[in-house]
Amino acid sequence: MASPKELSDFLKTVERRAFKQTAYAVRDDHAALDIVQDAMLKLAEKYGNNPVEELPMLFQRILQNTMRDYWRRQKVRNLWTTLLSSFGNNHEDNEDHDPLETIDVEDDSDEPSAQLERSQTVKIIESALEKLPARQREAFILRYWEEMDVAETAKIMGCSDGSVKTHCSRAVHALAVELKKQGLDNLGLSNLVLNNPSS
Amino acid sequence: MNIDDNTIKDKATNLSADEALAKSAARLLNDNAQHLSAVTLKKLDTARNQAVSQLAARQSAGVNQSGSVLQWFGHGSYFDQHKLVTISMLMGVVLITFFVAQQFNKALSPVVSYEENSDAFLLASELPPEAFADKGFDTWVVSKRD
Repeated sequence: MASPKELSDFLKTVERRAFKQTAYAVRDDHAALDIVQDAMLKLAEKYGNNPVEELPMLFQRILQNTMRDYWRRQKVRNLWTTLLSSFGNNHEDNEDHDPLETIDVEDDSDEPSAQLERSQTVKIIESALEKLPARQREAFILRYWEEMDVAETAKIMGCSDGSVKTHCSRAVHALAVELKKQGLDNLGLSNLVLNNPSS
Repeated sequence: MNIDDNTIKDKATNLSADEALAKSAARLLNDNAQHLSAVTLKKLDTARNQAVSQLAARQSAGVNQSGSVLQWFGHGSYFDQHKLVTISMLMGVVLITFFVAQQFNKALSPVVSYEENSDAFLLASELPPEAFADKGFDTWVVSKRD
């Protein structure tokens, strides 16, 4: 059984990744935060009594399912929004936006040029990741980012090992093509990773 | 044959190169995920604390539930909240006890009569055993009683 401290430590290690992964999938930071919060609460509520070792897989599974629920709700909402759009007002109100709230906490120990290069590369990768089909993105994130094996990924995604391999292969190929289009190859990325002091 | 081998080799090389690229990309994304805005970090912190306190509350509630029998009694206990059910249960227990006691009493009488016909009773009696086997003796006892 996981103690509250163990759960807290585990969530601390995964929450940032979970947020970013969700944000790539739903493309909305507020929704991503809600989804991650939901997943955390569900994990504590339903699987708090499970051993700590099982938490990573359970959390990923809950997170993926919560994302799917979100997309389902969005689908229904979009349908109604489309139907009722002629009655609505689409002006966005940005008066409450505070740029200080969204400023990134960057590590300033690095050279500004290197930081810029890395942030541009990350943006290209993020964009390529967002372009991937949902299942391929899910497989890529679980296999390469969460470093889960094929069987674990298959369990979380609810498909066979073969399907995971196919999704991963396609995702990796599509990502490589997209990055190469932007002039990024493996060597360039590896150098960026090696030169990054936080990695 | 050589062409096929080379094709397979090239494919494998491409695949491993693509995989290396994917791993590097994942590492960069992971590094980038560590630099979130202060507001996002605060919200994640709040969400985590909520989840942890929920687990703590559930676990402490679980301990209380398995704590002691005394929790069934007293103000706000199960019996206090379900008075009708409790009264019905108590009345049921009383009725069942009464019924069982009656059945036990009925069952007790044949045992007594059986004891009267047992060997121990015959041997311990003042009369000899032959007296009980004699039909004329029974008639004599009845006439004597009248």
